Amino acid sequence: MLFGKFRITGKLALLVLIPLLGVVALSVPIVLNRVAVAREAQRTADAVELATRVGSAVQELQEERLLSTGYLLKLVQAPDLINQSAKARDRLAALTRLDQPLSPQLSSAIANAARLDDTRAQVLSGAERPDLLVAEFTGVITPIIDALDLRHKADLTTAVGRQVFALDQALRTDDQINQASSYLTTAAVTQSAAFVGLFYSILVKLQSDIVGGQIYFTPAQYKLYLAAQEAVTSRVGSDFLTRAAVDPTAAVRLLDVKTIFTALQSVNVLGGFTEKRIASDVNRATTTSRDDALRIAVIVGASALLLLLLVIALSIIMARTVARPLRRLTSSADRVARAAEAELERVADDDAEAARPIHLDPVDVAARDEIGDLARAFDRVQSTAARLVERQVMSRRNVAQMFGHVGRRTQNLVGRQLALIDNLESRETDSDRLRELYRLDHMSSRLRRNAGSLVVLSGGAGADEHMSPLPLSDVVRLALGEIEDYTRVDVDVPDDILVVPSVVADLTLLLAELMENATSFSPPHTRVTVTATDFRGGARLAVADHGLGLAPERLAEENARLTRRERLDLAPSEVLGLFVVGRLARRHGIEVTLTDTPDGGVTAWVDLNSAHLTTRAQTVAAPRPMATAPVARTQPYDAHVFDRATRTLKSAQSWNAFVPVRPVAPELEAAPAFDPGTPVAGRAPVAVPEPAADTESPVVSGPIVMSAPADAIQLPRQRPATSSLRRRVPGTQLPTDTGTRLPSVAPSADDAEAARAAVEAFEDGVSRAQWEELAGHRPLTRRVPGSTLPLTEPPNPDPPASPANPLDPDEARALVEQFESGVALALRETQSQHEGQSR
Amino acid sequence: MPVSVDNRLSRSRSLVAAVLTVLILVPAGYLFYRVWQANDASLDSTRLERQGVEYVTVLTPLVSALAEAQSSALQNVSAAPTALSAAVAKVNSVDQRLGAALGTRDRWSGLRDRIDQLGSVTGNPLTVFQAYVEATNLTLALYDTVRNNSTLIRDADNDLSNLQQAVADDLPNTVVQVSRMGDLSLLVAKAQPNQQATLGPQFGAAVQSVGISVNALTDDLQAAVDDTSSPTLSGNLVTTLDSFRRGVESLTRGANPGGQPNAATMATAQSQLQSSLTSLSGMLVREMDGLLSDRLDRLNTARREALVAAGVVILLALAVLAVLLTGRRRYRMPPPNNEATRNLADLRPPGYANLIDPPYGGADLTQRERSGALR
Repeated sequence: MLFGKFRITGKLALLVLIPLLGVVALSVPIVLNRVAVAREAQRTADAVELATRVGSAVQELQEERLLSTGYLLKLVQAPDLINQSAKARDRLAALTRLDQPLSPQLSSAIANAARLDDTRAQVLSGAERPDLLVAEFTGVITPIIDALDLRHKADLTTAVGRQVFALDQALRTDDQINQASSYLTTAAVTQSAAFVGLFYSILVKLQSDIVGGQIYFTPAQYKLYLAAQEAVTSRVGSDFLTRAAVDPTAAVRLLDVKTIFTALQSVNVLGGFTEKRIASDVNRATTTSRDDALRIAVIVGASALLLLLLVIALSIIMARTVARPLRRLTSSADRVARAAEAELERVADDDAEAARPIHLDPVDVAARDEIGDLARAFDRVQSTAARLVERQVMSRRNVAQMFGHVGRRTQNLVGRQLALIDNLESRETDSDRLRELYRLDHMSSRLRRNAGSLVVLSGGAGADEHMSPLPLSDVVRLALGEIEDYTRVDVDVPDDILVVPSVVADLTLLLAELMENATSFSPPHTRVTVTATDFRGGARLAVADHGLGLAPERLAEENARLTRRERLDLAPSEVLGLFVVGRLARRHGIEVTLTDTPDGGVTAWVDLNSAHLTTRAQTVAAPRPMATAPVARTQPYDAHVFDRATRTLKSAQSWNAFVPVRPVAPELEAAPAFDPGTPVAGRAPVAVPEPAADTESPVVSGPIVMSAPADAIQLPRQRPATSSLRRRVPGTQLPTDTGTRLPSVAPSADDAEAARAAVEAFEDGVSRAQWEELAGHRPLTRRVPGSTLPLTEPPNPDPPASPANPLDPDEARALVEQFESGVALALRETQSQHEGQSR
Repeated sequence: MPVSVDNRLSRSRSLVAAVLTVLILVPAGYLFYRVWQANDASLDSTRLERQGVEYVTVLTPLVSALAEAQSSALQNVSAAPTALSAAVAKVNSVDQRLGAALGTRDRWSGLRDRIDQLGSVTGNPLTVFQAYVEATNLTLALYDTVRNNSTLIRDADNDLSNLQQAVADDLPNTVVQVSRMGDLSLLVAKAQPNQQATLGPQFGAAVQSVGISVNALTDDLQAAVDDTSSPTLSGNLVTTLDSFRRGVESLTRGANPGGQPNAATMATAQSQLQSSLTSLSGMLVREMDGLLSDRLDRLNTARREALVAAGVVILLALAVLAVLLTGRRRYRMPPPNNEATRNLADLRPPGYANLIDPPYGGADLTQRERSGALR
């Protein structure tokens, strides 16, 4: 649409443009017409003005004619005539000096008056005949009157035009009267009947003109006009006129020569007054009409202009009143939107504990019209949106709180469960049942880890159970005790790296999650290695698996997730572990980075800086004994947790955590039970795992009947078929453990003392723990989660992952999951006694 | 301090501006004064001229009455005509009012004495005629005094100038000369031969001056009509001037220079002349009065315009001063309102606030959970 292109100002301009153009189009012709009328009126006034001046000059000429006649007839003295001649010449010359230009005809007619000079000379010499004299004057006067061209200029349809015509007639009539006067004077003096005839013929013509001209005059003018004629007839007497028609000779005798001339002279003047009257009337009328026309033109033009300006001004003001609040609203909305975006981002994505209230700018429009309503509605919309976000934040927080509660409750329950298990373990002598108990213990440990993860996910602070530094290797082992496939993890961590107590619990959880990820997202036949090196004053831990790895973009995404705060409900549920890792890492400033393992898989780098670590010297120099188990004094849990982890790891005879790199488990060779090429990619993966399950698990699945709930945690798929569990003796493994670890520390002077102190502290702790156990704290002691886990890891009955041919990790994972689900389905259908569930 | 310097600067600047405004008022006031003066002078002279016209208006009947009285006295009618005493009374009343302004008191009182004495002059017709000549001459002189003192004679307008010439000079002259001519013609006819030698040239001179006066009257009226702002003058003149001239012509015909005068014709002509004179002079005086009152209106309008213009100038100056004096305060803008942000909590409905406020992981809740869990 055409209007779409314009802004509001343009639309308003368009709106007012058309009526304005209409106004202009209507008013311009009116103004032009009125101006033309005014100009015409002015032309008429000028013509009439000129006519009156010419008439005055002509009147002088006529007077001169009469005087010349009188001079020829010896009625007038020469000075009078000469005086009048000079006057007439003067008046004629004055005509050429008027401020309005004369028409060429008039100029030549006036110049033509110079011809009279000869006549004048002849008159003065007395050689002129009166009739010729009259004719010669007439020959000059008539062209002048003709040159005025009033008859053509007069528009007879108008009153003014008729009066102009009447003026012309009056001029001509005056000249005729003058001629008649001259003839009459001559006739009176010379008693010539011929002059009487001339006089009479003119008089007849005059009277017919007067009667015919009546329509052109106004009544008042006509009365004057008649009065001028009346003056003549009254001078000569009515008798004369009647006689003149019948008997000119007798009529002449009636004339009194002495008085007739002065009488006729005075008559001559009167015509001038009539002309002036007509001219004045015309002038008045034309002035009035001109003024009227001009007034109308000015009024119309000015009102059109005023309207134009008014409309333009109004439309500008309107456009401003519409556009300015809109612009302000837009800019305000834009500003508010940006501010609100930032605020909402802060409130929504920032997982900060303290939720500051959202600050929003009010929309800056105070108008009361629709735009104001829009602004206010917009304001309401954004405040509602803000409230919505706030409510969302609140609900999220409540959910997190719920998580936290559930997690803590679970932690409590699991803690009590573990205590119970410990208690049971301590009293159990049957090795099979003890083994089962250990498995239960391990499962509970993992459950506890899960509960800890839940607490972390909910944003709660993790448990801070450790009061003394712990070697990093122990931390790794603690973590190892909390994962499922701990048998697949090779640990190569130097013992001399000590972790400050404040991070021990969280670091354990962190490492557990990483290792859990590494084991669960890599093929079961692969190994996961955990190594640690000194790194920039801190330590760098590497958890490397040899699984499918991650696509580079996915890797970047996960890395970003580790460093950036992210809301729990925005993270995909499959990477909850990494989310926990990220949160813990951020909480303690631990740098966690995921990279590709060179030969496939993912390596998680955990960088501990110096603040997270402490040196053995510091520990030893401390007044309190702060060796590996100083915590036992204040916190028996530490010793027990550690002890449990140690025992768990030790009891796994197939795996030595202190062997830096273990060759790939023999299960790897045994694992591939079927040709990976045949049915894996097929539509019926269910058929494939069936024989594998049958071949691999009949021995192991038989004795193990788990009473644990199926959904507790992911149960190990490994079957403790061959291993035999040792009876667990609490605390017995620990000295061995520390003993083996100590030599790896760089030898120093303090070592002996430190070791002694540590042993003493440990013994002290053990004795105290035993004492405490006796004192009734048994549920809380002796719990070694995972210590009952099967020691040997049978080959994973699950279908092995595809060989390491370069598949796309995601695709491969999808295939694996598809396949695994098929296997699980098959297992559930055939053997419902399995406590495990497919991954 | 910069603030005080700024203040002082702006104060001195506005002081200069105020002084300049006042200084601009000075030439404007001077111009107004000049315009006012000129207008005042014009108004004064125009009023004076109107007074002169009023005086002239009552003098014309006096001239006419004197002419009549002269004729009657020469025909041995001893009682002065009533027209004369009426005319004298009128002139007297007008002179009472305007005499001081026009400076005609002395002249009028002298003329009135002379007119009063006219009745007592008897005997020789020539003596009587002379006495009347003296009175009419004094009347004509009074005309001149009025014209001079009322500044009518110096009027700048073409039509008024010519009209006053016609009314106050040509017209009374014509009347006086015509009446003298008529009376002289009778005197000459009756006179002894030795007197004829004296009266003859006088009569001739009177005839001559009648022609001259009539022509002068016509010329003046023509000139007045040639350039007049009155729309009615020319039309009115046609009949009145014609009848006046006809009266003069018939009286001349009655006087019949060079022949026997016709007393009856002259008597008729006299009355015709009287009436035509009344109408002509009345018309001319009306025209003059109309022109003068038009001019007075114009002058009053100009006066009002000048006043309005002066008022506007003063108002503008006052406005400028007011702006200058009060404008300084307006420069101080009110402090902008920066309270543009608001707390969303303020917008929250009342029941909503408490939903959010309990801190996360409140101790009591956890405590309860723990205790519940441990129970």
